[in-house]
Amino acid sequence: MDCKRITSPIERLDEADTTFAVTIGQEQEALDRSLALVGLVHPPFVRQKADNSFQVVSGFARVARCREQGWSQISVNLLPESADMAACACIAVADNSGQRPLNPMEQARAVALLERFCAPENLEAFLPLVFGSPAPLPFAKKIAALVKLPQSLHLPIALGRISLPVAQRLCQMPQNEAQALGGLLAGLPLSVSKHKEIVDNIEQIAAREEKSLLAVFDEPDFAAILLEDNSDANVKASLVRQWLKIRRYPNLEKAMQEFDSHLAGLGLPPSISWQPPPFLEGSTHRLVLRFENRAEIENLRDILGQILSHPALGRLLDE
Amino acid sequence: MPWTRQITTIYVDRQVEGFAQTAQVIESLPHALVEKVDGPSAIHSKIRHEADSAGAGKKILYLCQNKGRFLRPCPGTSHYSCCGYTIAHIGTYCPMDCAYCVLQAYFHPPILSFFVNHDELFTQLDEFFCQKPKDMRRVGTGEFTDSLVWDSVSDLSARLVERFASQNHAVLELKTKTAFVDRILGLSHNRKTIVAFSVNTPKVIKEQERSTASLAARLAAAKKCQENGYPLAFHFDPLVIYPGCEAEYVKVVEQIFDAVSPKNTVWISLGAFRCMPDLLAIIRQRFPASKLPYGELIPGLDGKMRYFKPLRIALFEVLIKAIKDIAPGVTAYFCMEDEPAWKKCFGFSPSQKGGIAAMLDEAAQRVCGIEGNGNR
Repeated sequence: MDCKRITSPIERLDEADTTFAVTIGQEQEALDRSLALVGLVHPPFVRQKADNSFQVVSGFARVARCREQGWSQISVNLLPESADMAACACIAVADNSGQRPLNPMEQARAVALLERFCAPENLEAFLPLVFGSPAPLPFAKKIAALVKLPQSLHLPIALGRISLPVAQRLCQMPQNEAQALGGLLAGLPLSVSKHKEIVDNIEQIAAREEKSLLAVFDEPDFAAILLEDNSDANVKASLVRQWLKIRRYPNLEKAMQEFDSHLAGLGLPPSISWQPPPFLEGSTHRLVLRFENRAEIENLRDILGQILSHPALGRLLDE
Repeated sequence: MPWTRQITTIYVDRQVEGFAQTAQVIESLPHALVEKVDGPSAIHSKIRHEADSAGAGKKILYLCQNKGRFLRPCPGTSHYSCCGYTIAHIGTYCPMDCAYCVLQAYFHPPILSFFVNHDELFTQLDEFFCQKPKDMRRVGTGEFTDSLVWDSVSDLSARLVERFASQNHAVLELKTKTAFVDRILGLSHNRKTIVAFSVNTPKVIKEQERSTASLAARLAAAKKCQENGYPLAFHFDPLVIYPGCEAEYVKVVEQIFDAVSPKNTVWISLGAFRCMPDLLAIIRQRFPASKLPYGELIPGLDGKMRYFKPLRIALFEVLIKAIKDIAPGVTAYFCMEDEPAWKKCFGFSPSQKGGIAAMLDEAAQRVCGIEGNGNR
């Protein structure tokens, strides 16, 4: 497609029109450095609107940085009038994905853009522009659904603070619940599996008690943890997980706490560790003994002898 | 609605076209379309693509042969004590629709199937009865399907009852959630058929067991069977834990023995809800109102999800006390619990009595009069 390279007053670029925006969550420092040292290497693509302003098709970040740095003029690639919206959508996606792999939120925006402007029968053929290789349409549509999540969650998803599998579960929820849960997860620096555990537990507590997720958030003890500003994110994550486990599995958690308390009563040295049966289901416990020499073994033997006569032993073995 | 009305299509495997049972089933379902098929692949493919394949598999009926053994030992489960049962594999899946039904996740996809090569079944039964030594045996048709649900379309139960009546060292257990016992009443059974009812609280039946008979109807059917001389059994399986469940389960025990005699009850089994992890997602999808997936379930030693042990034991203890108080002579046993659970709830472990199989053999000997070597 033949574009015309022109220099335009920067005000002529309609900053409010984000129809073709794909980029989110990208580092801007490198762009700032490049603009400062060598100027604008790749002029943005724009198309002329009926009101004579320019609609940005790709290069939103470049335009924004130039505007912020006080540029009054900017070099642009003006697309010909023959470039329809579908062509512009493809250019927007191709220009972004040609520079870097798209993050999940950018992929979502890109698919949604193609879905909006391209003929449905052509959509699958354009998906390699987004994913770098052919992708099944149902998969792409699931990704595109992320754009319907509350705006406040787009950046955490783009930055990977909310993983794609968890984001897709948020898509199944009402907006207000997704916002509350997504907002919580975005602030908890945990693995994907731990985020999933939080989602599972909150959903299951709500389902068990026929209440909304928000009603779980509103429970005073939980709300107090969520509102606590002083604790660091890791401490808060731990408190959130613990509270939810106790609410979801009250008897199991109580029994585990009791077990730990009896175990502490034994006063085992660091050279002996006691592992109960998982979930206290079986009856096989494991003792791990650590030693380096004969004297340490003899010492362990004496400690084991003391354990055998300790009153807490019966409680640990459920006798 | 009787379950037969929900069958839209009968798929007849070409290999069983000319079988007498095929004609009998087709005649019993005059409203259903009949299609001939070469094996189950096309049906599998059709059902697999349904959004609710577990539900769709209940609306068709596949008539075919059991090409394997009709009689096979129950696989039980690892790490937990099982009862040494012999399964008579007469069909798969069930037209009733229980939220907790493991068959939804056990077959891929689940399809209501009925094996119609009954001549082969009875040949295998004859061999089974002739086996030496003459051990006492317990055989059931209710492992992969409901035993009596097929009586609407087949005379299989009646034939089995009469066949078991003619020998003395095995009992047949017909296990059901229906109250459909009319076709076995009046048969000459020689007390070698136990009619067993899965029971639960009215709340669980209402909320988790679609299209099954009410508790009252099951107990009325049990009473009819007793009046007809049949020995009975009851299976509290799955026990579901919910607030107030203890008193409701005790009430079920009371209702059972208001309706029937403890002396005519061969055994009562107790099994708490357990399932393969995959089933939980199916329950959530197919039974969104069910609270089953939200119990305090933990992975058991066999990988199945189970209630946290102290919760199961607390309910077992209440129920066992009620059974001992009302029907002290009835043999009660656990389905798939470990020895510590037995000791805690019953005060002994099965091994002290020769194992669960021996306990049940003894009960069958006492109530049904079977003879032979016990499974010790």
